Amino acid sequence: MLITQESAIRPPRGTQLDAVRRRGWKAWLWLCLGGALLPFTIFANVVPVAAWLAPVFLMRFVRTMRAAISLPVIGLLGYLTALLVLRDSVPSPALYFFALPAGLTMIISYGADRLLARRISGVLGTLVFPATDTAVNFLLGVLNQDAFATVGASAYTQASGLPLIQLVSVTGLWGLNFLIAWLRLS
Amino acid sequence: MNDLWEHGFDVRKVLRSTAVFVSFLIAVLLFGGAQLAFFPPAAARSEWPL
Repeated sequence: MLITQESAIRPPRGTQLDAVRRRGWKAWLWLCLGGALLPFTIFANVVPVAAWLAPVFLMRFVRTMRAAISLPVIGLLGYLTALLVLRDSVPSPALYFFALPAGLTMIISYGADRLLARRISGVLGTLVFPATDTAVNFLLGVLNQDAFATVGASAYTQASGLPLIQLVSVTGLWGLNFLIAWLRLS
Repeated sequence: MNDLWEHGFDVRKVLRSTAVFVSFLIAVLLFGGAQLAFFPPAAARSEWPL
């Protein structure tokens, strides 16, 4: 087989580089899907199934892209979503600070998954994200003593699913939060 | 879901973690169903004939 200088420089079709490009293109598609569903997982206009599906797509984006890109993007998406959803409920200057925890929570939870989940194999690895997400949301709820302390908790989205929310009578809000977060990974 | 997705939705490759999650979810739903069926809230109990 004749190897020319051009073919030696240019990688052949179907190589790893192509695969990375294809995966990168799809990752942004998952981000768009997750981002479109995300406003329906917080506060007033809730669609229960969106709370289960949106994070699945977002997690796929974070796991496919480099952390240096995916984590700031996911944080910004969380922040913008909180701005969009709460714009009619919180007055303007306070809104920009009020939405910050939404972005930070997402960076910490998804970042912990990127950092730890691949190093811990099996069932324990799938618990990194739900444990971090629930712990961060719980701490924010404890630190904020106002009425909006737990406003971002995904457990609220399942209020119409009576058999599911019975779990709250045993574990509190955070048990259901943990279960919803667990679906993203398991 | 993402573990499944990463393994091409082949359940056999992530059988243990999927099984643990699904059994946990079924247990939660069974518990919730039982609580609703056997211990309904007072307002939902039928008091007929009044």
